[in-house]
Amino acid sequence: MKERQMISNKCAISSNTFRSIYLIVVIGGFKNGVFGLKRLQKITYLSEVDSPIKPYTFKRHFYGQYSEELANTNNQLIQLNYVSHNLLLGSQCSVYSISKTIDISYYRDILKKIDPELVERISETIDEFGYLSEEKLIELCYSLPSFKGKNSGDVVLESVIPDKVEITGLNLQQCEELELAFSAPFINSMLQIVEGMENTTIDFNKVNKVAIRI
Amino acid sequence: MPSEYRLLIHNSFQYQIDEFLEKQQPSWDCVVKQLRKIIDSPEQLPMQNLPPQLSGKVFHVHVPGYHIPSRKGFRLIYIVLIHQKIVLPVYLSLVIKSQFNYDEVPWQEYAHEIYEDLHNANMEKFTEMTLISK
Repeated sequence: MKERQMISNKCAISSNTFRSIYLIVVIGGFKNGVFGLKRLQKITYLSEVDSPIKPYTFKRHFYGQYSEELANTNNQLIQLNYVSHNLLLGSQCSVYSISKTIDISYYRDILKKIDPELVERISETIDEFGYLSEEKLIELCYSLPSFKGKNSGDVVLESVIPDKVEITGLNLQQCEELELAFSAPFINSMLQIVEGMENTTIDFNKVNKVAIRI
Repeated sequence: MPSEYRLLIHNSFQYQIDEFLEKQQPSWDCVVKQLRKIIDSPEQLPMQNLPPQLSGKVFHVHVPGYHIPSRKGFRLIYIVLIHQKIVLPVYLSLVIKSQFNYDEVPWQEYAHEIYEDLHNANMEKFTEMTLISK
């Protein structure tokens, strides 16, 4: 019985779903949202440097460490309405914040179940570097030894993450829900169906009928 | 007592039913029983962590199979429109839960077909399924 319980309380999510959850926790760690995509890139990078789990690969870019995967994940989170993206009044700076309906503590708990130190590491990175001016943050990232010797396009930090990330303490259903919640094809499809249904009055006189005995 | 919800089947789900009957015929009664439970009480097990526009509208249930270990079984995903009192099943797994991959499900194809038929009022592509107790 104990063994059965242990099995049912362990499941796995895909690396893509893990990346989405990680980014939500990073963005949600900022008090008033993340001011600028560069800041989001650099803080995520810095949170990964000393971590055994590295969700994103970063390359050397004109503005420092840059991850294409992170930019794509962020765009997907915006498109799925988990992250909101607004322009700061009177400037061209984008502010990224977690949508009000998102329960950030749930995602923090998931990361803690994967590695208890992940959330702490993200919080410490944000506290130490997250509110520096953008110039100082970029300057800091430029000064790192891992960055200095690299050419444009070279990998600065390689992602270290299994294809399936195991989570102890969640059951199969919870993992399934997470997987689907971050699947753009699933979410977009459900939205399309719901929109179609809500905007149509079904004329039940015109639909076929079938009766099944049970 | 008849359910106040109506079970609406689109052709894209009917294909899945047909395929299920072909491959998992012994478990079909289990699917029907779950459909019965769903229309009697559709608002059980809403999927968690969905974007706000889908919150409380997309549901999933475990379908136990015939001679299949209880923890295995199939997956049924459906949409509930509370105001219209309609239950629309969208997906039924053809194999037990540990053996399928959600990435391989043609979600967009299902959605496109349903949306187009709604938009073009192709009501003949829909079937109202009534479940009658013997």
